[in-house]
Amino acid sequence: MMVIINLAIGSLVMNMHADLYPPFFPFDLNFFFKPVSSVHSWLYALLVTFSLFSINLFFCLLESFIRLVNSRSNRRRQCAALFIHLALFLTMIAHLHDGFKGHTEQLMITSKESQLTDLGSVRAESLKTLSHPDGSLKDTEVMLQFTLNNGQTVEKQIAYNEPAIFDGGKREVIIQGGDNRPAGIVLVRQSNQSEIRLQQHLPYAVKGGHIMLMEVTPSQLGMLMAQIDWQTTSGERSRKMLVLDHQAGIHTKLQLAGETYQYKEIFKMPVVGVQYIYNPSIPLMLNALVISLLGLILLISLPRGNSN
Amino acid sequence: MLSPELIIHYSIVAAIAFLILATVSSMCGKYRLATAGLFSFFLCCTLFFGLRAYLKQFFPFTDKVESFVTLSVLIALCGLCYRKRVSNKEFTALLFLALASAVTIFVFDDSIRYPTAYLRTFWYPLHVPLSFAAYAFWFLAGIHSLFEYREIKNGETAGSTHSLVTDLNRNGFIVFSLAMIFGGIWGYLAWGSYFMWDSKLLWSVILWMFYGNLLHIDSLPRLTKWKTPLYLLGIVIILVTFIGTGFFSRSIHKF
Repeated sequence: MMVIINLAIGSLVMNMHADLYPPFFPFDLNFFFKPVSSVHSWLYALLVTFSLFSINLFFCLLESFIRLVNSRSNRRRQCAALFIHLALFLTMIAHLHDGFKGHTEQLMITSKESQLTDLGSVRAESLKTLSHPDGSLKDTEVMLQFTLNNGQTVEKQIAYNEPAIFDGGKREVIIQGGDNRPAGIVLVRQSNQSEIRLQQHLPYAVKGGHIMLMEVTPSQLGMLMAQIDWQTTSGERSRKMLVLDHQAGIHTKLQLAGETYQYKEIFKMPVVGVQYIYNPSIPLMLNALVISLLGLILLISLPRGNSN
Repeated sequence: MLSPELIIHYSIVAAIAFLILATVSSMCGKYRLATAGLFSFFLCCTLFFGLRAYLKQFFPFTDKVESFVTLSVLIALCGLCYRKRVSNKEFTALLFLALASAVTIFVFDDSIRYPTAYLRTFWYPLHVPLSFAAYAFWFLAGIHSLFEYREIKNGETAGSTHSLVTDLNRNGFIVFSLAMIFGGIWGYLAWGSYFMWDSKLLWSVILWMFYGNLLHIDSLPRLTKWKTPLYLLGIVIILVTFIGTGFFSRSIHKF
């Protein structure tokens, strides 16, 4: 009952301190100790009461086990109780282990490689957005390529409720959102009709100097504009604007050192927000899950009036 | 030609009318009429859920209107399953609860929307209806416990129904444990965590532990006199878990 009261107090405190406890607040016990704060008193009390409860539960388990060994009748009921209590005990240990030893990282994955602690690197290969008939988001499917620390390359698709899972479930990469965003523009050199793929913030050598795409922004009229940095071989710099709309006629062309460059298209790359989660207690949790299911099956099969 | 939205509206209005008929018939002791009313209620609800599932292209338990109707159906179904083991008064009280849950939907604006990407998993329809089924068992346990207490206080014997409260609690506990397990698996796959510091989750743990503790009460003679108040307190905890955190908290489970 003390555990229940503590949990209820904790729920109220968390609800009142919206600034301290954000929504989607994961099970990170370190949060409450870095730094120690009087607002978290309910959690410290909860840990104490849960510890006492666990000790109590452990001795209950021992007693149940001894009773089961010595008993000749009603063994199904005793097994059910033993399994459910054992599962609860293991779950609490797993929670404590995960709460202090697990960690969560939030990162953006693009077509460039991003590092995942103790796993390797990852990059997004493609992204597909599925919508409902009213235009609302149905799902987002992202193909990721992982290069693991042992050199192995693995491709995995993630979507909502379908994470990429590693190490028997201890590590997972979970989608939080994503889209195909403009990553650069394609220009056509008028003299020979060759294409230039201009990526953001990457200089590209052209006749008479270098060009670099600074950013793509919408104009006040709603048309997309590209800001391009032009640096001649003599070091002179200037900023050029290009309208990324084929209706804009002459404004879709750049004149640089006697050469004309015509805007062709925007190219996009997937940008995916993910959570990379490490939870070392998953194997223990899976054991607790199997044991609890066994306990529940035994409990279901008990005759009526034989459940207490 | 009637639009699907209009049929849904008429079907739930008809369902509630049949539930009222069942409740009033039960109050008047008209056993057969109450049964007929309940089956008509289930039939109308089947149409209500079927059309919503068709329009949403998913299981129809994803908004507050569907949640309250689901709870209502499961309470009524639980009453029907245990009808021969409870008194007519208890059955009527349970039907009142089902009715209260059903009429709550008129408070809300019912616009049928597609479910969000996170809800589109088969763990969701396993998790939510099972939780509501557990509430239904525990509501009946609370009602039966109260009536049992009144009978004992009035000098009448509780007779063979003595273990029914514990049986109902056991069934609720099994179903709620499964709901928590499925919810935990869904949480792990969708958010990377089977548990979060969230009001709804904390109150679900409270509910599970509370009713888990109550399973032991028959073995503890010292606490027997507290049995009825504790089962009634359980109903309050269910209401806090379902309505309190669903409407008055910052929970991610908020409607």
